[in-house]
Amino acid sequence: MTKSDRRTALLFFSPAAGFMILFFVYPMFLLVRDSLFDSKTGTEFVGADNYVNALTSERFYKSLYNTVIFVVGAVSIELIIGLILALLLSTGFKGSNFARTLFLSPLMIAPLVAGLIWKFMLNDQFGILNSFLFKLGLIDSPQSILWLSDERYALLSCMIADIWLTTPFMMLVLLAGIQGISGSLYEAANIDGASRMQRFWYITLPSLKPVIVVAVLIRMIDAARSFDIIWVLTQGGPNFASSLLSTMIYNTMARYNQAGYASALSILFIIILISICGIFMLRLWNPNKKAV
Amino acid sequence: MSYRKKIGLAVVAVMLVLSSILAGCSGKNANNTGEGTANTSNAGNNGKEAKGGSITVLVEGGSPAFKVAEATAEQFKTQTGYEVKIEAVPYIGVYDKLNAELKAKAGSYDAAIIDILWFPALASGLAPLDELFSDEVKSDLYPNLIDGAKVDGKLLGMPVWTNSKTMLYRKDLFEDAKEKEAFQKEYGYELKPPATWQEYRDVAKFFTRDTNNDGTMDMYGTGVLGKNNGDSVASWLDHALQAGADRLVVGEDGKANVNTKPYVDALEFLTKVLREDKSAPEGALNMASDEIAELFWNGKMAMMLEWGHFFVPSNDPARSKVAGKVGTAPMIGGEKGVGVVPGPWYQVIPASSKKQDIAKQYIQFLYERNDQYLAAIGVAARKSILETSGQKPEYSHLISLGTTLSAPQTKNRPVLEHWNEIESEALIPAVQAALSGKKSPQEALDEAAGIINEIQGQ
Repeated sequence: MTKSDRRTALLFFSPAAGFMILFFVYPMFLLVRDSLFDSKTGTEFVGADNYVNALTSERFYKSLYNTVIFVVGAVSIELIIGLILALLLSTGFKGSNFARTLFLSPLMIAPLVAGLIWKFMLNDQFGILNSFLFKLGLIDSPQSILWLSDERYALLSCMIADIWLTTPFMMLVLLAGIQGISGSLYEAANIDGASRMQRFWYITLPSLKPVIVVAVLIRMIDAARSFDIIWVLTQGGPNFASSLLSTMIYNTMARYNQAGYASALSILFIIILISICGIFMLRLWNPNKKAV
Repeated sequence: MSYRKKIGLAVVAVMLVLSSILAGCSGKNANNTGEGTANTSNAGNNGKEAKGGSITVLVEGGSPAFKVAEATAEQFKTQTGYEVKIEAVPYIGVYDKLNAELKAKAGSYDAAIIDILWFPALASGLAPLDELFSDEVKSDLYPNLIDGAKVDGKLLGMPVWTNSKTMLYRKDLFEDAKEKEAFQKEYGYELKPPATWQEYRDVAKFFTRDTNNDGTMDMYGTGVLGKNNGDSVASWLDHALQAGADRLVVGEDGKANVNTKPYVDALEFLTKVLREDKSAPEGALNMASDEIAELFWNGKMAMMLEWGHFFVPSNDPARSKVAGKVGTAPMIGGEKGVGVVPGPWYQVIPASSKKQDIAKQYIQFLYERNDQYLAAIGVAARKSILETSGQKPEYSHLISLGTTLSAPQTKNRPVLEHWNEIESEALIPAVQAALSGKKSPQEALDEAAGIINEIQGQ
């Protein structure tokens, strides 16, 4: 680029840079700064104490473990169901447009509202899910499975609500990806006598790889940060069975008033998320490399 | 054609910009209820509106505090020339905003109505109100109601209403001749609202039944609170007081006492009702006052130990299917008699407010209209109101409330800086662990005591 070109580029870049610095870099800096000070008054420098507390806290590891289970479980199920739905819709059967709009509807609902809906559905006294399972004879009584009050199922219930809410997103992205695959590849495969499975395995999936990686990456970060659905369903309970890092940070900051500790937790959370994304992108898909 | 298209695009663009601005603004005050009276968080210093200025009041949206503030705003303005700006947010939003105000000291709020639980955390940012407590005022309030607002010897809040759990029961079931006969036969004494732990268990067990033999319980005797919030802890502490607890949760020496006999007995009592007698709905770990009341109002529960004001909606046909059939009685008594943890709300003034004198006038103003809270929620603070209104049948719960609140074992929760953390990290998990059967009450409370001491040691 010539000097004036570079100057023009800089000029175009500066508003965005200013915005980023004001609303991103500066708050991040404050976050790091807060994490190095004590939680009670915010004025005493404690260095890495907050981090050490976090890394030696049982609650932190439990929340981290729950977060991992939640993310891996929810995202993988969403991926599979989303892929199936996308493949189905891509065949363009009669009424597929209507079906697509129908499938997209959970995405239009605010997560908080979705959480409330599921809270009522999963209720053991009034909820339709248990009533339905009971009528089908799959459970002994509507109170056999306490979705939200049993430690074994609390996290699962949150995952179910989240899967219902965001599978449409996966479906949409994958559908767009599938529709982007050139038809000539399929024609060539047909000529060579490839079966349906082979077409899917050797053409569809590899072509979808960048799309899948992006969708999974976005969903992973989103799922890790889930808060409203969990909060409205179980508030992180019972007994921290569904406590994710996000609910733990919220409790620490808003309820216990420990700004320093909460900041340290947030920084750790950010580091974990960035490393996972980094590994993901380096190993699976680097947008700068030419497509293989 | 292309001209129309351009106009169309321009309209869409303007709408997008407007909606993103509005979304950004509403994001700040996303939880406002009410018809537009609620607004901005920096209204305190806005002298442009009323000629006398204005005060900003922070209340829980939809709560009686909100309703009364709204209903009396006009009158206050006529009386003093000051406009009352009401900011309504969800329950914990009040705590969050006052907390933020404590640190920012921006003078955003001149008055707020808060839950007694928040005093320890907010005390350093509240103005003392001792001067408002004349002898006349003090004589019309229960002593432990006044003490609830005392931190470090200073009174930081004026009670607006007091509340505690009392007994609400199905009069029609208890007065039915057939039920009375069956109960007398089975238990050997007359069926009436229980007054002791044993009677409570008996009655609850008696009324738990599968009336149509379809395998599901159609009626439960009572409900047990086990949800992941402070309500469950309050319920358990009620019974701990009845069993003889003295200083709640933390003893004189600052060490946890939750694993001593009264607390363990109380937790065992609740666990037995739930797991042994099975006279409460199994989903207790996700049930608190609202969920239990819902079952009661649907005719699926014979009695409930609920916050006193639930009596009013229980007899409202619009809310409850058993309206007109609900009776009230004082809280049950344990070994050491009747006792409860009261749940009062107080009006406070942030120390950073720039209009403290006007705010104090506002508090006085609302104190004189304390009966309006009675109309809004069914409870009030002043003894005179509770006693006279208790004579009316629709407010008969006030008698039960008065008896319960003046019982010798009725004590406030402790003023602890880390109360929120203690409740969330130690007490709620202990209650839930015992109710779920995972740990015995003694084990669960031993662990809780350890955690409390750790937190207190910070």
